[in-house]
Amino acid sequence: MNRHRLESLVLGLGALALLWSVVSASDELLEALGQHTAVIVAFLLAITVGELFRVGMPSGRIAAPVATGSGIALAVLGPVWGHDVFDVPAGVVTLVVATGLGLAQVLRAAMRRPTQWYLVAARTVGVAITAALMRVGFIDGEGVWAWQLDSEREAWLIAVVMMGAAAAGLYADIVLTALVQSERWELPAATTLRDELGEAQALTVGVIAAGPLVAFLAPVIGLAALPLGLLPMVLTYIAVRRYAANRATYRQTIAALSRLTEAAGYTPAGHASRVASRSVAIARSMGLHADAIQQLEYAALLHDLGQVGLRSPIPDGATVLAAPDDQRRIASEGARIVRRTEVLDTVADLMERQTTPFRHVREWGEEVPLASRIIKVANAFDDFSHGRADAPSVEAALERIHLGLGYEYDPEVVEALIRTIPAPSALTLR
Amino acid sequence: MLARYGTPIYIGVTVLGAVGLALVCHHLYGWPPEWLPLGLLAFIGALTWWLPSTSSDGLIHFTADNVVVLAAIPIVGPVGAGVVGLVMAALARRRIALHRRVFNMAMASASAMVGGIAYDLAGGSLSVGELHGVMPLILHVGLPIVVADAANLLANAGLVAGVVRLSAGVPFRLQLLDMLTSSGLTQFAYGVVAFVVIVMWLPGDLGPVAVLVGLAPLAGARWALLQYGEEREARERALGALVAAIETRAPELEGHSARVSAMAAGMAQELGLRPKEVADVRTAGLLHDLGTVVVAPGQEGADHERSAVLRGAAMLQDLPFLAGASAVLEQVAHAGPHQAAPTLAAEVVRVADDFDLLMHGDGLGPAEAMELLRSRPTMVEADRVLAALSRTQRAHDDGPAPDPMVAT
Repeated sequence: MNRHRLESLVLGLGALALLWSVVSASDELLEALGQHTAVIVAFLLAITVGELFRVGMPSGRIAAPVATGSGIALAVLGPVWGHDVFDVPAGVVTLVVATGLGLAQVLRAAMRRPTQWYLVAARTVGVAITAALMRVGFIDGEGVWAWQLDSEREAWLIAVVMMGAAAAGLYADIVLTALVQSERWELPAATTLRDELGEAQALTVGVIAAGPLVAFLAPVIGLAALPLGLLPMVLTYIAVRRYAANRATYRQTIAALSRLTEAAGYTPAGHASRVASRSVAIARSMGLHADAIQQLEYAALLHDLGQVGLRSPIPDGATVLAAPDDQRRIASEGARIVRRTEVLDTVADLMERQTTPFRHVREWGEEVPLASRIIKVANAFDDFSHGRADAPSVEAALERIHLGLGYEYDPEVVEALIRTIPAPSALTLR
Repeated sequence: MLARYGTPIYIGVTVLGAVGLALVCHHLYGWPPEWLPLGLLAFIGALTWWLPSTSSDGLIHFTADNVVVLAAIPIVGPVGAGVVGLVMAALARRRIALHRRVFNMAMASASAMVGGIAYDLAGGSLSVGELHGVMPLILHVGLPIVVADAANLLANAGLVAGVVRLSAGVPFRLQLLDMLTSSGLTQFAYGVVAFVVIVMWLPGDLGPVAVLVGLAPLAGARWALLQYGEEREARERALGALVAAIETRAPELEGHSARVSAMAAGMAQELGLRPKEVADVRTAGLLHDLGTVVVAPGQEGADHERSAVLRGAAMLQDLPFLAGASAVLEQVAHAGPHQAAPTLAAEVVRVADDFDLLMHGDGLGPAEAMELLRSRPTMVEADRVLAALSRTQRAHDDGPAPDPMVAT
């Protein structure tokens, strides 16, 4: 139970937002549904369909720009050409959006796609905040929402206020989601928050602006505002998908490069990918930034590439057992090959420094990137355990690493390595 | 004569064409109704040119200037749209030679006015403020704007392809097709976003704020597209590491992969293969020796040429974006040295490889190498392939082509 504390908290907040919506809008809910049926159904459809088209960002953030943009649009919506002014309490907006998001989850479950109810909860809370802020009456007693009905009001001011309310809701959504993700991936919350808020700020700005765009179009072209105003979000979805897919193929290219040594029999099968995933796990538990983790992963995948230049393979490809000079030569050969790309210089630097013993850092103050120290430990762990995950192999590998603690290996990294290894009972079960 | 004076004459004709179009538009539609919105649109348009809009590989463009130019047509009239295009190109921050800037100004202005005329011919209204309701707005603004968008794109691409043909020798048809096919959906979207801006500006009474509200949601799409371009560039460059690995194992092949790649791509272009096929041939040429690395040390000598190529192709199969190149390599392998290659693309790679080995491995001159290849019994479309090889080799000897004039 304690393990899912934050997720339960976010789900609880979502439930609270729904409860508040039902209580505060109970008197007007049925009337609103009857009066604005077409508008509500159109938005419900946009939110549900939009939520089915999600895209996973490289940081792990799940973006659904069409659904999020539609939700924000409904929260700020005022006059609609050909329909009654959408004058409903914030609770009605929240209930409609939550229903759309919930329907999408049910459909996802029916299609055997993964469902994440904490996302529904976080987005519901976000939309409730936007809708409530738009209707707060602290300025002239009527709320800023009513400014849309006043032709004397400056349009730019209305746009700024709408975007402010949209931003407050969207950022609340992002923060809540990041908290749950940090808990799920067992990462420091500050790192996840920094990555979530830092990644794709332009995407966040775009989504924030989509709602006001629909609201400004609606008084002139009615519900056609929904497809027209959401088109930029559809384009965003397509572009982000292409970007994410391309990032994946870039990684595949690096992975293919890393398999050269395995295909030619220099290193055991799967060694590079095991070292890479172990390195990433260690880096995450040490709170490294997403960009740094990305570079680390590439460097770890390619850490043995220099072996392609060897005339005869070293036994089992285990660089940890090679003479220090050979280790350095392999590392610099790999770095030289990778530098030829001109776009992986940082990765090449990390590869080159991976062989430096920790005592150079401790005694001579040599600057060795943390990522290189991580690769050194992860590589030694895989070489010593021969890539096996059974308890005796793991224990033997840890024992060998402990012999070089502080001298060859960074103790903090080794500590993080131990955190990434399942408890002994779990090992035995394997 | 054409090579020397062709480009300046072309620029002069483009400028004259833009002036002529301005006179026609003025005769048909008069001066812009208001100058303040025109100034604002030109300023916002220039700002969109100031934002970084092209990825480092130069292949992914994302600029909102089309939205501003198209929106200008009903707001300030076709002449006004021409002025907006002219000012935007004039104020472009990028440092380029004066004659290039003049060409860009004439081209942007002329394309905008062509768009304006197309808008009118498609039934577009120049009094949008008086329109109300969905259907009138879609019929008299939305659809005509999409037509104007297409006309603007065609005029722009045609003018650019012309100047690139003269200044860099890239075939007109190839350049035109490349420009038209690379920006299809984005271009359509520009048209729809321009429609949205017009609706908010005129009937919606939002004024110039409409441009900002209309463009802001595109921020995420622009970001993702530019990221995509950057990453694609990085991915292509990462292939360079595979070549470096090949040359580490076989130092005698240093520079061979890059030469075969360039030669094969040049030949593919000469033979009129589609842009995708040219790209596949280029990559296949670059990585055709990959199989020599994917073999245990000491086993290279016992290896058969065909199995080495197949191993290389098999490694590339794991990379979906290299499926085309992998297929070309498989075709090369299956053909072997004594059978005709099943496709022109595979033949091109094989001939470029053999030609380079004869030149740099055996030390033959181009004429002797060509003669040896000509005497080879099996070759697909031998005359065409060898003619393409000869032209590509000559172009290579004449030195690299000058930088194309980047127009937009």
